[in-house]
Amino acid sequence: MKMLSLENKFTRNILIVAAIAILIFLLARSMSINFSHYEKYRESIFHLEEQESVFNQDILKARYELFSSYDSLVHNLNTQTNLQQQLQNIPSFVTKNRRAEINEILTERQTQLEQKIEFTERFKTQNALLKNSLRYLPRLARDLSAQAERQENLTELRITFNDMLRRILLYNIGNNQNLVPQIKERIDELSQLREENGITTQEFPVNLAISHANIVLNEKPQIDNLTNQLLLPLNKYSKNLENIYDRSYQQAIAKVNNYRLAAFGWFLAMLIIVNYLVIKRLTQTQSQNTTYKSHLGKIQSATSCLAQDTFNSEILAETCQRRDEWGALAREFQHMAREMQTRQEKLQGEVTDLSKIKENLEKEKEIIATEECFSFLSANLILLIKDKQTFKHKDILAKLEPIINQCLQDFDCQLLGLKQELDRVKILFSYAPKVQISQLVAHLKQQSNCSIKEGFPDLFANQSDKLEIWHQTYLISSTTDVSQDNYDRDSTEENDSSGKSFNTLARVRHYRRFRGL
Amino acid sequence: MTSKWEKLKNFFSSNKYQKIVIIPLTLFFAVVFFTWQSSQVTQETTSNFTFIPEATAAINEPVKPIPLKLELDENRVILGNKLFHDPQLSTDGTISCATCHDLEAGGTDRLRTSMGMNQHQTPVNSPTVFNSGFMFKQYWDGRVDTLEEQVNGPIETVGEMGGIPWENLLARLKSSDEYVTMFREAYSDEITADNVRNAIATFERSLFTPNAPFDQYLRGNPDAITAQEKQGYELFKSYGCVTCHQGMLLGGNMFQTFGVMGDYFGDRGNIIQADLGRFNVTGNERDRYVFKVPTLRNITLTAPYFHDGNAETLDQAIKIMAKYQLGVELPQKDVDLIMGFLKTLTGEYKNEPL
Repeated sequence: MKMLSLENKFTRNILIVAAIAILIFLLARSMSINFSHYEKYRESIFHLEEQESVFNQDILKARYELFSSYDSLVHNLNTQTNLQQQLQNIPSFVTKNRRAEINEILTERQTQLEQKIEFTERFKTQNALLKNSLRYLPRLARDLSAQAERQENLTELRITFNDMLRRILLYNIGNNQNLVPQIKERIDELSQLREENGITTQEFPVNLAISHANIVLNEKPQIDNLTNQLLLPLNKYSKNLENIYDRSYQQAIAKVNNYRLAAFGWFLAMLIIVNYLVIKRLTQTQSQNTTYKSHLGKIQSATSCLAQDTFNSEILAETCQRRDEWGALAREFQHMAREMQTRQEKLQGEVTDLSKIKENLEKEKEIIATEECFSFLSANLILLIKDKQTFKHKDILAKLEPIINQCLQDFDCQLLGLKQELDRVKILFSYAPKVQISQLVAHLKQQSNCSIKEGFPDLFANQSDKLEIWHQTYLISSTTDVSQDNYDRDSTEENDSSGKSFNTLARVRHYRRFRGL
Repeated sequence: MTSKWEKLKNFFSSNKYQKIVIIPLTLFFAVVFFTWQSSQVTQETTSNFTFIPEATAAINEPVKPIPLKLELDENRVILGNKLFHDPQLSTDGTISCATCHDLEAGGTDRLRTSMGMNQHQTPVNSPTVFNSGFMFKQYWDGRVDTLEEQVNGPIETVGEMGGIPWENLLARLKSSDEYVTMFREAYSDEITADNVRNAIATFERSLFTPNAPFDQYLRGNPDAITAQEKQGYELFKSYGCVTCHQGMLLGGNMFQTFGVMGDYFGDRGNIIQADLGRFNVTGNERDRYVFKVPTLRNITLTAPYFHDGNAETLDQAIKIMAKYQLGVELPQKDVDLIMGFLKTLTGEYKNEPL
């Protein structure tokens, strides 16, 4: 089981790693175009084209403007050289074949550029000479005009020179080759006039003028040729370069877009799977939570029942059957609950016992309190019998005892002893202090009188209805000693004042009865 | 704390979690992805190219002012300055770059031709190092394009600094804690030949001399130069000097034959290999006696003149140029006026006049 789990984990991890690796691969491929590099390269191509245009403008300026600086040409060619070097660093998205095409174009262009640099140097050198002559010849013309005003022999020379200068200037700005022989003719004329008029160098430097004219004639065609060479467009290379580069870029973009789409799809798929797994996991967790809450509720319910002493093992029966932690917990709880119940029952028994003991103690206390009254309020009542014959019947005393007992109880008194002698009946009883003895005695006499009459009518058949059993006189004495011995002795000695023995006897009996409880 | 934890636990246990977290999370990722996609498309379709036109001087002249500031790595300039003045770069430790290019002497040694190690006479006059960073090529014959390449020349030439091998030179520099520290501050890597060359070249590029009176004039201050100096400038243009001495440096951007209107070398005599000029580089007959047109910036400080130091004074140099390049004998008045103009080309170094 554990091996299976490990295998599942391994497979799962492998799948995760593979999914991430595929995503990274797709993202890497979709970002394979370095746009910064692409734009930089494209910018270099545009910049190169721009520099080519600027170079042509600078060449034309240098060629046709009177004053010019070659700094811009130098700067331009340096820039083109640097750009050419930058373009060697072809972006990585360009395919091998396209790269070879670009390299071929760059090589050709490099050759052309080097040639252009060489032509430019020649152009600058020769153009400087041409410009120098073109600039100096007008100065000579001004000098000659000034000199001619002073020397008449220079007039013809001046006319010829000015004509030559005019043709030179025309020749310089145009491409009229017919002017060349005319200029050469004027040069010859100048030489002839110098010879004919004997013009010295101090008067006018004819040779210098002729030299400058020759420089123009020599340099101008070369410079025009150089200018044409330099104006030959190199932009055909940059255009080709641009086309190939753009095609490469479009191809790369199309490829990258496919990778992007794949990456997007893969990403979404991964997202959906991850969401599904998360939701599934959450659902499982919720189910577990529900079970958890259910079992927790049962255990809580069991706890409440236990507290209310209504715990029933059936409450946790289902949970106890589980083999998980909940089952173990429920079983433990059940075991604990049983122990608690046993202990509670035991304690309840003890409490019951203690309650009984307490109750007995209270009763004893009450009896003892009552007994204290008997101890001090016990009396020995002696009722005297009028007719001794009447009480010879053996059952009278038996009949008399419950009547007396009842009467005493009517007054909350207790019969402690009853004894019949010849002419008297001794009643030992205890009574409460509130009891009025005279009423009690009267009640005793009356009740006992009536009961005996009713119980033994034949004994009193010859007697009138007003016949009284008891004498009006009675004897009562209080006593504290009601022990059996004293009572018996008193009874034997017919000592009317021996109530003490009755009292002792009553106390003993009462004590025995209490103990019997 | 417990209560919060419980709330959190309850929240994540409830169905709300799915609605509040999962769905927005999905939407968030989707939006991020689409935003990324759209940003890519924007990057693809837009390509802004801003062409900043080169600043032009107010006055349309064939001469342009030197810029007032240049952006250079200060650490490299400081390091290059130390190397430039360090005689350790020569074999016997007696010659530094500054020996022949003394900054106190207009960037030259003011000798006809320079003196190398062991009193070896070099064949050419030392050109000024000031403004050399603006030159289109280096040396009189323009045999190298950059200052970095130029640094190799004197160090590797036996007759100049002894031809110390680079390994030995680098070992010397590496033995100095100060150099090690300075190179580390100026470059990411250690002391290398390329770094030495670059440091010296960077320092030389910092030796530019802006704000000459004529530059101020070109920038629109008509009172920066006098009337005579202006007249000299007009003569400079009308005689045709400006056809070669043009641009920011009044030279330094083209080659020209020395002796267009006359045989300078024939008249001078004693022609040596160095006199062949660019021919020594290209082997092209057209380049015989062709030299880089020297700058006229700070020209009054860099005598003697020409590659051979043949002109001891500026006056002589102007006359020689007029004779062999223009074919004229300039009157002294014009020479003086032109010389007056050339004096206005002396600029400032570190805000101090040279």
